[in-house]
Amino acid sequence: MGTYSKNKHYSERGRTGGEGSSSGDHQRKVTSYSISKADVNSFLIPILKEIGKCIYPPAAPLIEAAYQVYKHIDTIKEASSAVVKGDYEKATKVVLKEAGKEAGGAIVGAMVNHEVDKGAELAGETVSNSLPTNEQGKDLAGKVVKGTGKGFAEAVGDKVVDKAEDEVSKDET
Amino acid sequence: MKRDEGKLKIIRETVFKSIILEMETKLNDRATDERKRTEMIKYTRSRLGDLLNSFSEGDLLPKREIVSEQDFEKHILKIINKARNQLLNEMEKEF
Repeated sequence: MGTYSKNKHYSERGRTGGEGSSSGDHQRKVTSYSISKADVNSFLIPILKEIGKCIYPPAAPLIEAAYQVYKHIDTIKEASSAVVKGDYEKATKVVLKEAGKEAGGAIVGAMVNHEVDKGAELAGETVSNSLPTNEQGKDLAGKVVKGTGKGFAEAVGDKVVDKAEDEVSKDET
Repeated sequence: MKRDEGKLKIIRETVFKSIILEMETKLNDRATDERKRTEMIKYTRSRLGDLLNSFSEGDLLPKREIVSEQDFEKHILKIINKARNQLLNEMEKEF
C-alpha cells in the first residue's frame, strides 16, 4: 500500500526560500507539494490541533481490526508461513487452534489478504464451519476482508506475509 | 523476525491511518481546491511517515501489556497525540 515515505530527505527537497531568505514567509513553498505557509496555517495546523482528542468515528473500525491483528500477531506469523507454502488447511487449523473462536475469520482474512478472494472464502468457511453462532466473528471477518478494515488488513497482512516469505526462503536455502 | 516487529508495524500503521483518515475527512470539508487538498495530504503523509519511522521501539510499544481493545485504543491515542504534537512543532518551525 506504500503508506510510509521511504525517502527521508523527500520533504527537505525542493523547498524555496528558507532561513534568512528575503523572499518572505508567504513566498516560501515546498515546491514538491506546492504548499504555502498560508495553506499550513489555514488548514493543516488547525486540523492537526483537533486530531487526537478522541477516536474519530471513521477510524474506530480500523482500530478494532488493528487490535484483532495485534492480539494474534504470533498466530498470524505462524499461519502466514503456512499460507506462503500453500498449505491453507494448516493455516486455518493454526488460526482456529491458537486463536479459538474469537475473530478466527478476521485473522484468516488479514493473513491471506494478498489473495483477498481466497481470504474471504477461507474466512467464510471458518465462520460457517466453526463459528456458526459467533456473530461477532462474522462481523469482524466482514469488516477486515471486505469493509473498512480491508486496507489495513492489506497493509499489515502484506508485510507479515512478506516477512514470512523471507523466513521460508531462508529455511529453504 | 524480532518478536515485537509485527506489533510495531501495526501500531505505526494504525496511528498513521487514523491521523490521515481524519485529516482527509476534515480537509474535504474545508479546502475547496482539490489540487491543494491533494498536495496537503501528500505532504502530511510524507512528514508523518518520516516521523513515525523515526520513533523508537520505546516510543511506540506500550509500557503495560495490552489486554483489551480499550487498552489498545488508549495506547493508539497516546501515540497519535505524540505524533500530532511533534508534527505541529515541525510545521510551525518550518513555515
